[in-house]
Amino acid sequence: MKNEKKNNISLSDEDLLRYNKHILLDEIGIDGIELLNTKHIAIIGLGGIGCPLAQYLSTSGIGTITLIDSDIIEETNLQRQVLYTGLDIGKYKVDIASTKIKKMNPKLNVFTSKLRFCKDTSKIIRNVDMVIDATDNFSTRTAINAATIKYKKPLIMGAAIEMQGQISVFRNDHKDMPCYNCLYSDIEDQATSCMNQGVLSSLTGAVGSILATEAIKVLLSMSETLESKLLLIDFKNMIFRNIKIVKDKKCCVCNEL
Amino acid sequence: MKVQVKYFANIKDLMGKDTEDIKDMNSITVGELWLNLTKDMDIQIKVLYAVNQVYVSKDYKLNDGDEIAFFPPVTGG
Ligand SMILES: [Zn+2]
Repeated sequence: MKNEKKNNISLSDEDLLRYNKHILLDEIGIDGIELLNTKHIAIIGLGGIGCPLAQYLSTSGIGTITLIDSDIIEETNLQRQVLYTGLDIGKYKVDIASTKIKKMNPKLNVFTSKLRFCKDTSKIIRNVDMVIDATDNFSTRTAINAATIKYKKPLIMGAAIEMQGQISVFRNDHKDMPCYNCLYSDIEDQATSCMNQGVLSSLTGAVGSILATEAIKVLLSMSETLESKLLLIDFKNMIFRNIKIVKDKKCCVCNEL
Repeated sequence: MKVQVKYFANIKDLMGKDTEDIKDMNSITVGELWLNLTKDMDIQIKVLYAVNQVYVSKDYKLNDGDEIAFFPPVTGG
């Protein structure tokens, strides 16, 4: 049975075993594994959300991942940034994360950038298939949104603070879709930055895991994604809620030509 | 007119309840409703609005029977 299948596909025996539980899913299957293997995802932000996200995308067989983060690992990161240990303090997050996820899946191609993502450095995403925003501040998120509109890339956004999270999929690769700034136009970072606020480690893990799920679903063109929806997560009361996002005709980011 | 209000996540903590019905109100915007509900409180937090599960701006004019959700922005990670 296995040999019969093997004649029509490019996956090795090792891959058929490695991805067995995904191959058994009707929603993924061998075709899905082969498709994911051709895809290139940029993950911006390798913190509490980005770490589990990078792990799941690596083990799920995404072909290429570009990791973008300018930060160095600190002791206060270790409670939730699960790719790092005490031995990694003082090293660049992207260096440690790339080594770890490459070890988890040796066939994965990994590129890294230690440049802070902004307008001037945004061309790094021009050849990827998808961008995932796992950063921790509004100004970088806005720069990512603008860049994904410019280069026409789907954008998946995840955020977490205290015991609440938000996730959305913005189809910035399509015309006339709502963008991140249709939702958030004038947020001030000091009100919502995580510098002096706590965050539950398992919440960042859940947000990273949902981002990986949505990434795979969008890449495999599954229906019922969080496209143009905002998922509100309240871990304190364990309540999830979906809100529809519509294009803001006055949004100066996605309406600008 | 009458509307139902739901408070989400840390807005629920601020208001001390997760839902309430507002009766005998005039036709106002969702932003004005938030100001009315919090006029006796010292609230610095930024709030976002959804009406009938659709994200709206503060200028959205409420209608009888609307379900309004107040929720906070989240940008950390
Ligand atoms: Zn927009």
